[in-house]
Amino acid sequence: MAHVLMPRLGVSVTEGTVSSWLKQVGDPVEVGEPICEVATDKVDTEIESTVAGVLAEQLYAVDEVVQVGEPLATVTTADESSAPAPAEPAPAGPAPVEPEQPPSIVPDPASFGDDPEPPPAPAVADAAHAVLMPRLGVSVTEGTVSSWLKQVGDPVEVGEPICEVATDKVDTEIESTVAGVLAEQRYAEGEVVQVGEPLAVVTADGALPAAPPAAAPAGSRSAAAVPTRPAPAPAGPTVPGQPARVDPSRFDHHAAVQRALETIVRTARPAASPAARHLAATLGVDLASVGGTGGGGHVTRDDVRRHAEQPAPAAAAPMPPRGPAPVPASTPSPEPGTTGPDGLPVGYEDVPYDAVPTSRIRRVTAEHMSRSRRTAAHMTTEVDVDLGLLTEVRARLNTQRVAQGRAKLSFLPFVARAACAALLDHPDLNATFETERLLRWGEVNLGIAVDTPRGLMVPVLRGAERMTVESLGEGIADLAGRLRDGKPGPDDFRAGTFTISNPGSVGAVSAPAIINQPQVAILGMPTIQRRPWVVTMADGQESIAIRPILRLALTFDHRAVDGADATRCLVDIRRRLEAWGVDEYR
Amino acid sequence: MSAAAATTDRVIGYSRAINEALAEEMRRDERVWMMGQDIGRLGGVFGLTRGLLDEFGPMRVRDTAINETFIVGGAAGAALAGTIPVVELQFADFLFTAADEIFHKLAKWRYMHGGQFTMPVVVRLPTGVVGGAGAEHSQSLETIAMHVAGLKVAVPATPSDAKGLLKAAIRDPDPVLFFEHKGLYRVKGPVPESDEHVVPFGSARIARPGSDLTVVATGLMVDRALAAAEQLAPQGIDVEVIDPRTLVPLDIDTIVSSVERTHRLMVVHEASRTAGFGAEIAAQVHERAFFALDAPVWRVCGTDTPLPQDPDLEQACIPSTDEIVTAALALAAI
Repeated sequence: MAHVLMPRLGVSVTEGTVSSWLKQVGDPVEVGEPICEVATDKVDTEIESTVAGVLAEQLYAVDEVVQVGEPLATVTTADESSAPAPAEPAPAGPAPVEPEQPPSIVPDPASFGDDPEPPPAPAVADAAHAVLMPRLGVSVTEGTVSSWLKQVGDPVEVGEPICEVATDKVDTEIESTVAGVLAEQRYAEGEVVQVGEPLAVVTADGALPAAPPAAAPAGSRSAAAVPTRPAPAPAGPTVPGQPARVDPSRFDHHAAVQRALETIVRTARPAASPAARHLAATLGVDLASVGGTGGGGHVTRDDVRRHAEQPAPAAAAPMPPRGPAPVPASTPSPEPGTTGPDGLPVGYEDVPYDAVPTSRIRRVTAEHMSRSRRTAAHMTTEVDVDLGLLTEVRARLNTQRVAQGRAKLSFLPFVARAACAALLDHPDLNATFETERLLRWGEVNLGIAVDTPRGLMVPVLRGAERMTVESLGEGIADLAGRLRDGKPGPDDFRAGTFTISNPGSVGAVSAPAIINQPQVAILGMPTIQRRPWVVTMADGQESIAIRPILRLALTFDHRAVDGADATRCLVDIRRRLEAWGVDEYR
Repeated sequence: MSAAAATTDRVIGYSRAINEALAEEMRRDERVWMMGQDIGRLGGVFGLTRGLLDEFGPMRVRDTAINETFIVGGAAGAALAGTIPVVELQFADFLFTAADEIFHKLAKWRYMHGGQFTMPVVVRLPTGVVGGAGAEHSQSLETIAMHVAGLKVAVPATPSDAKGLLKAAIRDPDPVLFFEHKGLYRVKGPVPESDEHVVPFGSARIARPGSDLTVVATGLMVDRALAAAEQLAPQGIDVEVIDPRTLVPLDIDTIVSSVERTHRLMVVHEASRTAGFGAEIAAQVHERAFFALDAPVWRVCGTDTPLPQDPDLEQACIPSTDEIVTAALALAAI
């Protein structure tokens, strides 16, 4: 075991902060290989290992401050018997930023052995007492002792300068790598010392070992105070590894729960327990519109239930539809200045009338419609869709549903499903136009125009592009039901990105509409008409057949997209409706 | 099958219940015999077989050398010869010593040989921590037994189940690893006096009904789960404790239907956390009842360590009542 010490990185630098570890416990390290990065107030630099082996311990965590001369890491030599003597200076690689002193090592005091045998090589024992001439630069092989700062008999600490050495590159102080009392200066001032040679001997009491350094084994070493090299390891692996998955700590349930809850914020999907998700699907509740009260704000079963049972907002203040859907563009609004003295339009004074106060929803609708008409460049494109295949698909699906005791699906959710799929391919139509930019929304929040006793409302199915035809159908039915019962939630009208209007349900044969601001397009669904239609027979001949035809109308904002873009999207919807089987709708 | 349960309130110990099951089954069927180290004259290292040598003689209650390979291997051969061996290993940990005999001969031979014979062997395995027996004498290895197809695995937690499951094990045509918890040997409880008190395999016991959280526990952990339930009740968490009683076959239906009511599940086991039977139950419940869950299936388990020999440290390595309470309260935050 040996330590890699925090080197002095500048004359006035006394400490540094570990900024990162480049080697982890268990990693093999070579001499000169960077093991960590340290930041000081002067420099940021990599600290190189001064010993080869395996990193056994990081003695400081990242962001901890380490004093110069303190051990940074413990390294176990991979093969102690053949490792270089611990105090031998590392032939340090390219020195990092102005290293006045290379990192040095001392034997780990904790590894004192009671081994009575002297270490095998003489130099090994002596090295424990010797302060060696460090390598002061890549090309530096020697230096000249310019002055001694410690005299024989002076106490010295690890990291304390003992002499000054001049090389052809730098003049620097050499720090002791051993604590104790200076026992011998091996070179006089002015003498040249080779890199790696002992400069001085430091012992516990200032007495020289019985045998001089680099001579006989130090049989008389004062082991108590002077670090000694551990005995060569016995046979067997000496590289410490992590034990195989042994974890004695008790499982931290609170921390684990916290971790689980933290995953919630990382996903955009509404967080809900599986049970809440299931209940929401059963009740037709849009999870995105439910405020979660569970841990981390996730939606619980209770939240879904509460949301489903939410009472209607006060009648006086219904949620304003974000842009109530299609009303004929010809809806007149009385123009200011044309009214007579009693408030009637000029010229109507002799017409009998009833004055009916408008509802708030009517006024909101009026404002939205006229604003949309004023802002957007409305344009409508239409295609005829042959619903022959869809009629069969729907009949098949509804047979299954009836057998399961579930309500039949109308054509609307099928059209909605095909439209959502097409919008994924035509994101400019699922967007908001702002002159300087077009916001393509990442989900299809589908507004459905619903005719209610209180007026037109456009509730929103959140994330409709992820829904199957069945969940769309159930979602639409649920929304419509809640509106008619006067129980919509505050989020039911928010954040629509595309709207479908279904005037066909009351008999319209064409369905241009007013765009629901701030959206780009609205799909109008008129009634399905059985019409004589040219069809191609199996033999390639054409014939006239009676087919169920739907004339879909896509009204779009010509500021945002061009007619070709919108028509391509509409044709894509048609293609799906004419080709999809049951599975595609799911 | 436990119709006789109402006939008596007799209270006896878990050890006594096992001893009764052995004696009754040997009286009932002369093909049943026993083998194990010191089970005869000594009456077993834990005293479970006391008195049986006297009643049934040395041909049917056979002492063996300290040789698990021989004990289980001999039982495998004796089963092929038409007898019903019930063997005892002194510690469940030693099933590793008899690993080939258990995991190959007992578990596989019926299937390797086209069903020409069955392997009606019961291996009694004193299991779990008992207070400082150390890492090689304290493990809970039921999951390993559960993982190898061909074995049945019983983990009785009460004297009544110890008796009823052991009788079912002896009557079963397949090899059964019978994990008797050493920490329960001295526990007493009501046991029906009937000779026909047989607890069928694969039927979980609802040890405590509850409505807010299902806790599945086995062996020593059942009582700790029940104690935790009592502490949690005043805090508004009504815990249902389910003891599966056998891990193979596993009564997952009872667990799933409980989770469908409580919407939450914790599995408590003494065995190490990683790849314990808690993970298997969690996976099955996620597969079967995902949409019933309000929270992730939670595990309260032993540590992933060799068990220390110091009894206090040892307890620190397996779930305590306190930890079960802590985990339940933590899980309530989800």
